[in-house]
Amino acid sequence: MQWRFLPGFVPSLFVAAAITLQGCSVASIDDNLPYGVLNNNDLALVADGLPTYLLMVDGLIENWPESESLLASGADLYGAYAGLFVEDPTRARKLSDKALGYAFRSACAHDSDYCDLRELSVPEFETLLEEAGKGDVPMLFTLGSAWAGYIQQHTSDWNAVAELGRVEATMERVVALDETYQYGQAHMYLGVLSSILPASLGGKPEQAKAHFEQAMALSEGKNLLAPVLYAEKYARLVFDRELHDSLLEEVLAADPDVHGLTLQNTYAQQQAEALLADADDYF
Amino acid sequence: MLRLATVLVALLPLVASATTLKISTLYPDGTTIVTGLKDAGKEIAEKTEGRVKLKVYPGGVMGDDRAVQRKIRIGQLHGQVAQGGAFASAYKDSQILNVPLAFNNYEEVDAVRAELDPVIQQGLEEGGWVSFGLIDGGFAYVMSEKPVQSLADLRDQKLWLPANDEGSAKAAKAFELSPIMLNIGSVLTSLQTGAVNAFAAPPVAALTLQWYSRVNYLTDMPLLYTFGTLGIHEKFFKRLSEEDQKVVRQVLESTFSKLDAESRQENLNAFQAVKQQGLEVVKPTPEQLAEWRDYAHRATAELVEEAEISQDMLDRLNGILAKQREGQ
Repeated sequence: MQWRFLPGFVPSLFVAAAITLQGCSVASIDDNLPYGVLNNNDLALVADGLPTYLLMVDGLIENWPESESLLASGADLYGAYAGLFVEDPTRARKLSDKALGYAFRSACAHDSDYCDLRELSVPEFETLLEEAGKGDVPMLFTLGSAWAGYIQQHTSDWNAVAELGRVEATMERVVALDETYQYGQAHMYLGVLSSILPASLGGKPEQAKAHFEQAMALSEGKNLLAPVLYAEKYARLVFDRELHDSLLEEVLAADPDVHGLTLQNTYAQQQAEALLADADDYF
Repeated sequence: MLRLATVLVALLPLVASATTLKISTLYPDGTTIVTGLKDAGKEIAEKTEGRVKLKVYPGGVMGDDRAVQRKIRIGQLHGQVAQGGAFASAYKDSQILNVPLAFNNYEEVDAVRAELDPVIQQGLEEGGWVSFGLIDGGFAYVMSEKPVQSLADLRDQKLWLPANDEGSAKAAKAFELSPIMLNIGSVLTSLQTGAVNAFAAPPVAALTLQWYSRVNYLTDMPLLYTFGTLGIHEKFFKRLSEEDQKVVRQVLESTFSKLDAESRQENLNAFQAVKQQGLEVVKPTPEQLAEWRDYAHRATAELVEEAEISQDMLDRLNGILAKQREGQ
């Protein structure tokens, strides 16, 4: 008997880049406060300042432990901080645990059917998602992105790898209900998820391509992380250097200042430079 | 004049331009194995002062095993990381580790591998593939929608086996199974639609490919052992100077020994994770196990008959196992 797969198949490549600093869900604290973070183009300043903000959210959650929107903010901010700024893997894991914990609590506060999600089998989870409506989209998106960030930090844990299918199902439901939500970023996640495996192992490079292009179209080119991930995940997977380089060069030429996306775009440009610098080695 | 010619020939490897060994693998970029290979490549380039480089083509960009072997024949590629079976035609006895139900546990695997790994490596090399050690692929287990304890239970399932795979087809015949042969890429969908409801695979694969999420039971019986390796075709390897060959061997052997140990740990962890994800573990009764073994023996005998593995190699395997079991 032969096997078309090999040992040690750790998708450590899986870098979903869970940077979804969501403005709207933080808006309950103060309408303009989160934009101080989101519209900043100085990554170092935000890296230094964000912890204070996280502690404040923690404190607010202590006071309102069942507030769906506070818990969602906690999930988004902790996830973003872990994914963007924390290089020490132990700390990043710990922070992503906290982000996912808040996301679970937020989902549970939103709808009691979503308590104890990990107790559900994948088919049961999918049935639950089928019942979700448009009003559930923000909750689902926060849950899916926190979960993706958690898996990204836990690629050596097989129980985390096993949960990838749940993230995919969640983001697919978001796309089905409202693909425009958050500049179409659910498509970006699905692009990453569809390009983890080569086609011969059941990966879907063509679907990945379609998702990335849709994410770019829905953000009208304003979300620079979508083309960066398109280059990193898809163009590299199919060995298309021309596409890889042209996507990244466009990112570098673009204006990162977009309301709500400036921070993410600044990060994306940094990534684009690193990918271009490494391209000769890869291709 | 003659002397000058000799000197020139002796200098040839030195003046020859840098050699890049192009290696293909299905593993995506960023996985432990691809990262390990890339690091090894850097070390090799450093130690040979840039005369030898490794170039890794990850994620199956060069196509499946067959396409890759064709590219190796025409020199577009020089080697590949693949499952053991991909190299079986060069040295049939390398399949000895894949004999069905040969092992009860990893201690037995380790005892056998300690003795047979060097033999397999040498056999592969004589068959044209320079390799640098095997990587543990873990045991494949039956996982299914309904509990499978006996062979009869398995025959009642819609069992998936890989398409275009002679070894699988033969095993299916020997165990009197009527499997559904599909490409690996369509298994998840087929499990979702119910077109198949059972498969045999190492837990690492079942988790990574998400197949685990569509079944409920795992049969705790190590159906067969799997492994992978890197083979560089000798005609390219021998183009390197002897000194450089030595460096490449030394670096890659130490890389593969590390990857082997890491993979083993992954496989053990993955087995626990599959259980934690809610798959219920069932075990054949002693009588049922005896029947499984009976069929496994027949399948093995057929492998010998068809010259897939030699009697001599099988005797060696059984000899080591007998000694190991005695010691317990």
